[in-house]
Amino acid sequence: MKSQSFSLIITLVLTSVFSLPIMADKTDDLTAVIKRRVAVVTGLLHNTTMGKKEKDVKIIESVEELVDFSLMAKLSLGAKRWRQLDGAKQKEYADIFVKRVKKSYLEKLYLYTDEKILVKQGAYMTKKVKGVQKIIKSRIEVPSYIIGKTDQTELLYKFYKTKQDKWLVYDIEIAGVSIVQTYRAQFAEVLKGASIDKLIGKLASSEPL
Amino acid sequence: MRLLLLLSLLITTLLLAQAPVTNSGKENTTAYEEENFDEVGFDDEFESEFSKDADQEDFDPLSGYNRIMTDFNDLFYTNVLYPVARVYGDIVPESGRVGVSRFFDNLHFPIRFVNNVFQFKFSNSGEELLRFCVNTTLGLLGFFDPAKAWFDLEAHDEDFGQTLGFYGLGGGFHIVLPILGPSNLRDTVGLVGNWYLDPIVYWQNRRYNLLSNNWQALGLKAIDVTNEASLHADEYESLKKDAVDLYPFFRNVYRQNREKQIEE
Repeated sequence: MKSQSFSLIITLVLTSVFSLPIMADKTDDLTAVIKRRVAVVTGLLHNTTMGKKEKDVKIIESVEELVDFSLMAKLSLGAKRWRQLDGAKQKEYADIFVKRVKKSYLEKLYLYTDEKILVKQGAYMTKKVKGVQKIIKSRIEVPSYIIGKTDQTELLYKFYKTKQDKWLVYDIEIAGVSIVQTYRAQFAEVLKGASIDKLIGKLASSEPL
Repeated sequence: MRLLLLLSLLITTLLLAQAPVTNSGKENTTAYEEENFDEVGFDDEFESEFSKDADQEDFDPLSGYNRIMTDFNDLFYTNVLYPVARVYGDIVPESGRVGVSRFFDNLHFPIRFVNNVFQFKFSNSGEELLRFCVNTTLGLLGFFDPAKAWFDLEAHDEDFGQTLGFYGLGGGFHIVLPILGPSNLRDTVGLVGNWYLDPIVYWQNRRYNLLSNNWQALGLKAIDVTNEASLHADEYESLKKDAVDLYPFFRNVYRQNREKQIEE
């Protein structure tokens, strides 16, 4: 009798342990991270006491540690062309690229100050390989929506896992348009028969074309 | 003895509790990509996420014309459309303009409905039908959107270009249309199909027409375009600033956005 109740207790303990949500998935962590950052940035945007320059600095600070800007610079140029450059040129290009991306990001933010942002559950990226859907454990996408006056725009944050097991954003898709991809297409066109210096020159000037 | 057994069981269960358990989600978790940490492998893994798109834009037979048209459109937007839209926006309060936008959106229901059906998206087409009925009646001819606000009915934007893409037709080469902006071969053909189902376009040989002639259609279209522009006035300028080279930028943005729309 005693052994019966004992095994009952064991069964109860084991089943309750295995039915508990054991570990918070990385997708939940990153979703929470994005929600927090969005709240911080929204708070900064609505702050009426800070000057614009100070706001800009604080906003960039709050997102800087989350975004791998140097990887974005490399991917926008294309890894092959990047490897062809010497260290000094790589740094020159990367610096000017990052400056431009940050400026562009801030401009967009100010445009959408009054819009509400809804962050949804992140998930691992999936890829179809030979007809089978596979999940990629080193990539997570966190979707969010900018609720506009008449429509919604999707903003997708794409994370990758670094060698140090850190997760960083390497691309953002706005309404399905990847910003790294748009840079790649443009840079490829500019670099047709021109050197990297022409591209650096264009990035340095704030005019399009 | 029993205490020892209990203790060891407790420790075992605690240890098991520390082990990560994969998400019992609907995704296929039977396989995943290994991370590649040597530099070339690492780069190539990312490259494979992007590079396929760049090749598709190499075939651009109309590039000369497209560039000129992009510049013309840019001049038109910057010097005609957006200034007029801004004046209009100063006169008409935003709530009114949002209502007008919803009104025109509601009128384009036939295009969305038919194309959802053609893509076998039956629950979506049903939701569109419900939206149309609710918004036309309760929403006072579509000026308001109680379908979303009260019943959480989502819109499902489909058009003939997307339907053709759904059936596997590739976009074809890029074409920049006057005033309408970037398009491609498939979507330009699709545009004609959309117009045929558009209640505020006048077709002489179509049985049902809401309007009586082309001038009315043009007038309404002008109001629609100006109204939309007034609601999105700053976005075009801001988008332009991201461009290092305007024409390939819009061409690429158009293609990516379109592919996403077709996927959905």
